[in-house]
Amino acid sequence: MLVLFCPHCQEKREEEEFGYGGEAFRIRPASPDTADDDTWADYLFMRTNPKGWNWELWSHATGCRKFFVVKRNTATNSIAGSWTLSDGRKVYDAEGGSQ
Amino acid sequence: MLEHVSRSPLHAFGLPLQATAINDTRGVWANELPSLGYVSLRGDSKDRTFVEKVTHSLGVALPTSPCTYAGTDGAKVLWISPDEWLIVSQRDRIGSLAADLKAALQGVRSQVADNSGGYTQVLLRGRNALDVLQHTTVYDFAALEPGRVVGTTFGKSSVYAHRSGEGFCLVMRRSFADYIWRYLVRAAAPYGLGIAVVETTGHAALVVA
Amino acid sequence: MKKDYSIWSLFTKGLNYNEGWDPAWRSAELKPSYNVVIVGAGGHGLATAYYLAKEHGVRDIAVIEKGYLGGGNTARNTTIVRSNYLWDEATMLYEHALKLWEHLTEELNFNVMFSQRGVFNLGHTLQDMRDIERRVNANVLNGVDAQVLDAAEVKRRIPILNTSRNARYPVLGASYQPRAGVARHDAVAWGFARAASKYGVDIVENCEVTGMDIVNGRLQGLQTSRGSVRADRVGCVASGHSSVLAKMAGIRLPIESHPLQAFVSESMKPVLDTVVMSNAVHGYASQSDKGELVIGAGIDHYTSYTQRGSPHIIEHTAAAIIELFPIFSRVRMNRQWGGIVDTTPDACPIISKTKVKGLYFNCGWGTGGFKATPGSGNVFAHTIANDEPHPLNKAFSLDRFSTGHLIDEHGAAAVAH
Repeated sequence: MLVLFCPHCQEKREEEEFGYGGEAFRIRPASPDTADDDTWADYLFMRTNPKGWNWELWSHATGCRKFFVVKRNTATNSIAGSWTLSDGRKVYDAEGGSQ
Repeated sequence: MLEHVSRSPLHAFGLPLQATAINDTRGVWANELPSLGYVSLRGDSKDRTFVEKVTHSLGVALPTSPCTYAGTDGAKVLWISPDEWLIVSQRDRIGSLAADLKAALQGVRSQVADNSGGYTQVLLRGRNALDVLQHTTVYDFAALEPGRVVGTTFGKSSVYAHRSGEGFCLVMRRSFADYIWRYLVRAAAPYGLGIAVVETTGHAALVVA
Repeated sequence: MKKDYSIWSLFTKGLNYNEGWDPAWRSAELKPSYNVVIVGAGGHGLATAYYLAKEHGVRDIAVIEKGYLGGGNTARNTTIVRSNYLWDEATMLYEHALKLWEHLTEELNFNVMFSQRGVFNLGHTLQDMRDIERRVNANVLNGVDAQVLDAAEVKRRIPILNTSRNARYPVLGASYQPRAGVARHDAVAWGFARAASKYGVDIVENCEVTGMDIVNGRLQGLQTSRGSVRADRVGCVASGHSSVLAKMAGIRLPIESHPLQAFVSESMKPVLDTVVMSNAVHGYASQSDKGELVIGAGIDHYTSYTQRGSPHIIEHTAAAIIELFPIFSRVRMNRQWGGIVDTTPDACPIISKTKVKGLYFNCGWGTGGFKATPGSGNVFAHTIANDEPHPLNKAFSLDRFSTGHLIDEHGAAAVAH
């Protein structure tokens, strides 16, 4: 059972209130029409799926219904923090983005 | 010509006919607060113009702290998310309330939608009301302070809940009302469930505890 | 061969209080170089090594395993074997596996306890029934045994199933595959390990891959926790950890690793002589030869490598099983566990060459890999030996995600996805 802090509700809530949204900060190709198949497939299907720290999206599905980002370690389930998308992006970029 | 009849989401359970005055024989007392009006308000809580205009129109400060609500004598404003509120009022007042809000927010980035057909609420009281919530939700309602409202998971559905007097108000979507009511009935069975008289039409819902 | 199991050997060893059995396989030290190294000593990896040795004459093989043999998803699945998938490509692959299962005990001289007790996929809505009929028709056209049963027939065959019309999701019927069933999960790993070991395959446990040596797009060898090893070809069959290995080779896979939980009950007298799955109510159950109910449902929604999941998934699973079988409401659960499943966007596996010459991946089996164990190893061995896919796994290449030729088996992948 994960307990996540919702940066919008400003409360820790149980996992059952949340929906998992996959890896955060994936970048959509700027022009899908001209992106080649491999580029598009990489965006659409390929995942980093790291064993270790993972930046991921969660939605507070039965609470405020907002998305936010969580930095969680997939090998231990320990959580470094939760941020709104914009705040999380800054922390993510400061860490050097995806490794 | 057919007369237009507005039926509450829990109409089929015939609750008004079963209602009795609250007494000590049951651990849980519940009933629907039927036929209230609901307005969904969207806007940016960081936009001062928006907040001021809403506050002026409603006559109560728009709650911008997470998970709080505010009330006037005629309406209750629940914080849903940083850009969404649910305003609860008497059904016959909701039309003018929404119209006033819309007029006040002319030119301000916002949305006012009358969702009165989309919600209902249940008032849960009695000495075991908290026990029932602990069976049915994942939120620690024992720690819920008066003046706070939380959206949480209820069974396979969800509710917005806050304290109301000695009990709890559960605001739910119409489409899940049947499911949630049956779930409550089942969860309350060990404590004995009584159907409480609703004091006046939905008035209890508007009492800000 | 003296190590073959037979009635005679059982009898004579039995007279000696079963003392003196040889170890089933040889535990080896890692040599400096091999022709082929298989990463992952689960069912699929060991089967790959076995078929490489047996059918392709490769003798210089190592299977390396970061934990212990058969200790990953092979030890953690719910042992269901079936082949009633929708699309031709998937059906053919799983049917190939099912045909191998039917002779696997004799083939390996090891009792894998394959029990063809049939599998029911219940339909609870009209749309369920339409999907069932479509899939059964597709199966029959592909030569796979499949039938549509109505609710009365389902009730006749599974008396303890709640087929009441008052059920929350009443059973309207089912698809039924008579040749499907269950097998003993550990025995599959042990059987393949023993058979591969006989061909001289080195099985090296506690040997974790830590890096890959790639020069000019060609794989030279592996770095492991037991030193480096040179290899002409490397096949990765690491299920939940496939992305970790792929990253060492600079490859991205369309895989997410999720926990999948399952549990077993206390042992009971036989009450359920088949396998029952329900997509809509969302659970499945069978009864093991020991009498335990073997129960599972869906994956945990978040990715994790922790081999454990969240309690509400268990609660949900138990609720679904009791919905189907009210008789089980008082049964106590004995054990619960989680595996790491490697899910793909189309619920189909990847058995493929990669952009690195000499490096092959067999992964993405998600929640349904056990049933394919012998078939998976068989076609993967072919892929490695010939540097070309077997006709049966040509469609399961990694580049299908670029070409758009996905094989959507989310319906037939049943409950878990």
